[in-house]
Amino acid sequence: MGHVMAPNRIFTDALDACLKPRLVELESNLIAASFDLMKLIPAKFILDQAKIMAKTNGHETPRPIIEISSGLFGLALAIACCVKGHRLTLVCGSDVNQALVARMTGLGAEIEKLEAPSFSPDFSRTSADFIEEARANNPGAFYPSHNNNPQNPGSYSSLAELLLEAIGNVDCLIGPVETGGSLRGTGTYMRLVKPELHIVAVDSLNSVLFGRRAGPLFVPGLGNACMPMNLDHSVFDEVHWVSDGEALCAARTLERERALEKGGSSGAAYMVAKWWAKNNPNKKVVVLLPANDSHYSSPSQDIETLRNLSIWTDKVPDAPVELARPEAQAPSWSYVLWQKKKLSSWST
Amino acid sequence: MTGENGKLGDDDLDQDQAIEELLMTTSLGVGTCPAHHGEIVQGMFYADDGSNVRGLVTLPCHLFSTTAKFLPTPQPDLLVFPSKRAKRKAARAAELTLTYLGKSEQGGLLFLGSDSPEGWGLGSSTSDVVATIRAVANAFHKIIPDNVVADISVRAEVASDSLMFSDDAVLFAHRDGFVIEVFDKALPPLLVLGFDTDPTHTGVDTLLHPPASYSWEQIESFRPLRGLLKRGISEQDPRMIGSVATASAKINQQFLPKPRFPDLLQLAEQVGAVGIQVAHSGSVVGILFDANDSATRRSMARAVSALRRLGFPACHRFPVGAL
Repeated sequence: MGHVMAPNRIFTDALDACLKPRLVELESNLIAASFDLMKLIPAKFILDQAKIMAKTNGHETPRPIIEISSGLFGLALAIACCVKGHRLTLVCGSDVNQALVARMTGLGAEIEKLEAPSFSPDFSRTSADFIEEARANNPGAFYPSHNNNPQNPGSYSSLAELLLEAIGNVDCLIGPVETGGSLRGTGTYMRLVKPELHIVAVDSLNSVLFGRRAGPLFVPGLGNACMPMNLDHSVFDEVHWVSDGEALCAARTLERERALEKGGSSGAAYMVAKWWAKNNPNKKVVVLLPANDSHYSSPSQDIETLRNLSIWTDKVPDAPVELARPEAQAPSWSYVLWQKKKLSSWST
Repeated sequence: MTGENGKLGDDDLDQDQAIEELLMTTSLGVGTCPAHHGEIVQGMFYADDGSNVRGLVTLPCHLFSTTAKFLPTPQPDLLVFPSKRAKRKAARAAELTLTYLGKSEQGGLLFLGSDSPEGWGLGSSTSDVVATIRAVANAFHKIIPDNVVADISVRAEVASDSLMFSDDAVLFAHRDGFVIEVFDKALPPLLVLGFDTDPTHTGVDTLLHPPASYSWEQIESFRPLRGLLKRGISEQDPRMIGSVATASAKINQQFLPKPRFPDLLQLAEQVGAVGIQVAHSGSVVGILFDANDSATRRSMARAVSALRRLGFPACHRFPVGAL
């Protein structure tokens, strides 16, 4: 655990070696924290803490491990379990990405693909049933439950330490939101010493996280169909919503302009961060780019697929539309000055 | 060693030789160590091997210091002034230092004196201990490396400050006696306005006070503090160090709360201080100012009046860091 952010050295395993982001200056006041796979941080931390607890209670490390994830936390957990020698079962929605399944299977994880797509209410129900049954059959099984486990946001202390040590005065932190872990965790830790830090969440237009209606979520790592307990709305100063097409277009721009090959959630964060940094030239901005594009069968390059899904766009607006309320209809990039409110306080 | 039958024998020759050798190889040793004023930060930190250890960055206070004098004698007895009972930890440090130097068969006279105001919670036992170790070493014309002084200190008093490291700032494992991290510079230039929050000035006994028991959330909370501390030392930025000290003081409120703490935080902000620091196992508090800021003199004057209104009339000012 202490090795999470150690400087140049020989790493003990591939998990340790990939934890640290690369910090890249995109503008004079905009720095990207670019990760291969940011979710390795909570995956490793949750397993390490589970091991500590087991030791404290005089038990062996809990195993096997069982988790619900159709996305990158599942991949991160598969990597962590491969390195640490745990058996892993991952419960996925019918819409899980094929390349991701191949990779997770290759790492030794067992995949339980359910019939419902991961954004449907059916999936919430059937996956919960599956977990309950699996835990009943394996009393020793460990269920990380990353959407609700406080150790998910709690794991980002190492990232906060790294950013503060490397950059020092950070005024604004921007990143995509999916489980409520990374942005909330990193931002909250940084606020212990930088209470005035401005935190900007980037969400999908089809996500329920900040009060919009659920819809198909095409871009992994951007938005959520259900509300994770880990999402603390009162952390955020500003919330942006981006369409899938805009997110993927921005990811292609990021690659074309900066040679950073990132997924759509990183693209969405990049377009918001570029705009924010330009409008606040005296503020130092850090943007989290959580994952490489290559973890998936790469749909962001395939124009035909995107056109068929009606989410192709080859340009993004120069600026977002400011909304007065989160549920206001907007077909493309828009934002609300969230002002650290609770979600419920917007409904009155 | 003494000739018990009164005859001049080999034993007496041995004694003469011993005295002569002692006079040749030793002299009155003198050692000093500054007082301390609590910590910039104290908590739980990751060591290089990934384990969690308790650690701190001491805020030294050069206004006051302890001076120890040590006169070696050929007998293994140790006489301590003012008294062995009052200076138990220093006496233990003298014995451990004699052993380290290979002189465990010898003893001596140890005199301790401090110019810290009585009962201000400033003169820590570490000042006594470190001054003693230096005095004993000095008596044998030796210099003991800081890391060995640290090890002896922790063995003499269980928990120790990092006062023995006089150059670059260090994150010190105060219960395990090793340096977790050496920073590349000293603390940046700060001016401290210090005061005691305990009206009885009785101080806090470190050993009677159980060490804070940290949850995993609290352990992780010290990571951002360490990150900004490192940056602040490397950039010599007093504001960053002030933010770290304030954050550590806030966390410590759950363990050894300081009276009127919210008022003190507000005061620090209003007068334009860079932060507030506390003794995590004591009662002193310091308001921290940027020593290079031209507004600091006036800010400090305002802080003194504001502190008086809060019921803390007696303050002392001192500089810290590379000036």
